Amino acid sequence: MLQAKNVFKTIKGNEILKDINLQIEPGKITCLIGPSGSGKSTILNCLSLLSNPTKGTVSIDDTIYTFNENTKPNNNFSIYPKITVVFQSLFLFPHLTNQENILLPLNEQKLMLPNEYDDLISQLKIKHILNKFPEQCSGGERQRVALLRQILLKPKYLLLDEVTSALDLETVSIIADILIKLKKRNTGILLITHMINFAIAVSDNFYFLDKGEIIENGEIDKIKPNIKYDNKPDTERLRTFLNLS
Amino acid sequence: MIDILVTYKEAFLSGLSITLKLCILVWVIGIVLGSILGMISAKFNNTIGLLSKITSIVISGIPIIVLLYWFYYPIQQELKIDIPAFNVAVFVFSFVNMIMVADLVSNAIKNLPLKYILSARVSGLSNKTFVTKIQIPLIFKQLIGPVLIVQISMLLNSIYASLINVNDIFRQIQRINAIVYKPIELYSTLAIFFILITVPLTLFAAHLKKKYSIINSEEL
Repeated sequence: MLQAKNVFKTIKGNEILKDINLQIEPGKITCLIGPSGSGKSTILNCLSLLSNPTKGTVSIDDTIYTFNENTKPNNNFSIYPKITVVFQSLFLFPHLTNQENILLPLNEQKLMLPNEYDDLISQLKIKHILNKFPEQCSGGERQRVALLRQILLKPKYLLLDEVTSALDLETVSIIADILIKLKKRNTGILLITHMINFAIAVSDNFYFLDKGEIIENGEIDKIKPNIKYDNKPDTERLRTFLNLS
Repeated sequence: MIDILVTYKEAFLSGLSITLKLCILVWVIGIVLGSILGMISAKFNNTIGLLSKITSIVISGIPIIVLLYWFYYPIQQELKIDIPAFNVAVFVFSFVNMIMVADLVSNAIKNLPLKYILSARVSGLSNKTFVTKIQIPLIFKQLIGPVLIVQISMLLNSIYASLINVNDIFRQIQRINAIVYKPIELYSTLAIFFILITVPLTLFAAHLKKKYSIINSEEL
């Protein structure tokens, strides 16, 4: 399990995260929702140890990382790509073709191309851009390449930051299918998204973050439309957020 | 003007050969030492990096001809040494080139976007793979345009070398002019000669800069 416990993050005197407790279980999709600037990406960075929490612990399976203000940046790169991230801004290497972007990490990990590689390529509709450079492709195409690159690394925990923001509904539905397949293979997925319907369709549970605090969390049924009275969101803040979304 | 070029082609070619020799030495020494100094400066930012940066600022504020004169006349007189003008020119230009290249290399290393480091890390790339397959190619592509432009400015600046005692094109023109006294034609020919050399190089540099510049709208 990937877990954050009592995590705080302060940047230049501003408290970005306040006492965050969150867990991502293998074989489950957990979505993190909340307004822009609420600290979702900061949680992702802390969970993936790309950024140190100011205080608190992050556990990756049996390994516990404890942080305080004096903790040095993480130099233990062996946790990657067991944990991997698809960033909101993609971060494909601009001097490599899309194909090279996909294959370089795969070769580094000495992983073979999986049997379903061709299927994934055609499902994600990126066959025609494999030999192009990222800058020659649209935002949506780059998102799909970035997602495929990380999926092929067979991570145990996959953290996705707004990976569907530039995609049409049809492609979002394809991504949903792919994520559900990954979940069935016991991958733990954290999904940060503004597309509430997409989050509800694929997730098992949710965390609602506002102003750096987890206001509410629970099973995804709690925020499904047409909910019964007894499992509706507890907080007025989440109800307002869902109504506006 | 063509007849001047034809009549004195040997003088022109001799001048050109001296200029090219000077340039090649300056390019090779400047780029090699500049790259090494740039890497060291990026690693030791607060010591060697700072010293290199200050030198770069001072150098960029001094006209290169002043440096040439300093090293050719007062310094040699003071130290009571006699270094051939060509060697002085090589030293001064190489030093300036080295400092400018070092500044570019150091900045490129320091400014490599963090996002690529993060991306490489979460993709499980080793440090070696990151350096060889990501960092060096990205920095190389980022640098090729600016470094080429610096090298072309070195070529253009080499004309100053002739003002002290280097037997290159400018000197040859002065010699020919003493014989035929056609200053307008001669200096126009010299201008055309320089344009013929520098325009293709400038266009080539611009082409490479465009080709290798990193177009990158992604923000971290």
